[in-house]
Amino acid sequence: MVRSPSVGEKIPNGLAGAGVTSAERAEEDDRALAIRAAGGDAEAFGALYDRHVDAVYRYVFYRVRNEAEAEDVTSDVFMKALRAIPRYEPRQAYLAWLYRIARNAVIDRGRRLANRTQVTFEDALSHGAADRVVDPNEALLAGSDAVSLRAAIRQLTPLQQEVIVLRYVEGLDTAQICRITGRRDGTIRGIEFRALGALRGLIPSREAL
Amino acid sequence: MPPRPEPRGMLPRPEPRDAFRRELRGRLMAEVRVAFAPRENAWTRVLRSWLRPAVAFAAIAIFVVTGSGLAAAGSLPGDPAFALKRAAEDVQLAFAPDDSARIEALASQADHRLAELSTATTERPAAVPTASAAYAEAVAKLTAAIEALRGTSDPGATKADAARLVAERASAKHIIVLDDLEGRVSDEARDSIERAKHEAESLRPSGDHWPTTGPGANPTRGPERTPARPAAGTAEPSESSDHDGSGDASRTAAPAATVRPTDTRRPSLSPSPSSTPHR
Repeated sequence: MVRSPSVGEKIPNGLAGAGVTSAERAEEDDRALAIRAAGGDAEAFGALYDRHVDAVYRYVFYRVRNEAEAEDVTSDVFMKALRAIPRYEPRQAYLAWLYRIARNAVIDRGRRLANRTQVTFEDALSHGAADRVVDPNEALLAGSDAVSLRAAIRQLTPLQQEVIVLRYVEGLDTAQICRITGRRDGTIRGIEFRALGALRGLIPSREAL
Repeated sequence: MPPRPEPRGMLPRPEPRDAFRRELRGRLMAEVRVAFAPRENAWTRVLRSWLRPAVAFAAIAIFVVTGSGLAAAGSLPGDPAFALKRAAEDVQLAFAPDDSARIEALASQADHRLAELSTATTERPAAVPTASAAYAEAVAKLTAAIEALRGTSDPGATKADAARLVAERASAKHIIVLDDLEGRVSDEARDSIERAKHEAESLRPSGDHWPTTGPGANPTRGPERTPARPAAGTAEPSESSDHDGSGDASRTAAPAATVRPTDTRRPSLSPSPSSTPHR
């Protein structure tokens, strides 16, 4: 499965022009695939799915209650993307377009579940893979941290959640977050600052970030 | 602005289950067939949005017109649909190009009324008086039209002669049919048939009421009896009926066969006066 290269990774000169980052190259690849998909190329849409399903899942994961919800919303996002791809405008980065669909899907879901936002014990234990990337020696602590962090993140505002996930889960820089959220640089920095402050208050036992 | 340092701590990066990835991919690929199906453009959409109601309206209109037409074609005098039938005959008469065509249309109309009278005697005896009256009216219109034609300037008298021939043929045909009907109807209906027969005889040039001079020679058949509304002619009877060969030899036109009572849709009389009668 082809995955997006990590942010800021430089592409060798033989593969791209000087100064072109892997993120920019990935964005161009996405755009080309999206144009083909918009023209009815099913394989192109499949390739886009393969490239971004994990990112969408992670984006959703920290903003819903459990793994099952994350899968539901992820499915919803790609189904909506499939139906909307014929209207995709190439001026916009495909990933930003996809995140916008995901953001709306999460918000819609949150509205439907507005009266049931309290984190349950089952929610806290629902995702065993959340700590997959941490050191095994720290598994217990990391697992606990993941659950706590996720519960804390869900108490942030939607925009704060989005910025935190894009920044600290996906590792995007501020400029990329600006393109995805449609906010200015200063706004994003302010949102991030306030979100981190809120998280520190919500997780007082550990300097999480 | 200096580049922003990477965050000191990264949150865990959960990944979806492989089974979920595969299952969702399969669903998406299955959905692709529908989502990527050719889409109609705005013009097609507009056309379709107008076309559907238009087609539906046309279908309903055709159904109504056809149904009404069929109902009218099989109607008898006194039926509600009979007015529609008469209206259609009026239209046909209005489009008659000249006097001869008008006479022929009126003769055809009289043929139709006679066929309706024949149908009424066998299928609806209660309608015989009304059908008889309608027949008498049609004959009166035909006679009045012929009389009016005789009053016009016609140096060679060709139109008048043609009209005379039409009257002669119609009278011959009708009397044969009415004779046949008279022997099959009840006593109550027989009076109506008698009156109709009297009207048919009045068409004959040798009949008592046939005008032998110019207009007004016969006051009972003068123009003042012409109905205010021009009579309509229906399509000519399109087929000849079986001849019974019982026509009077003195009648120049071949008499038509007796009307079959079961033939309710069109008069089973001889061809239109313009056609050559056969025996």
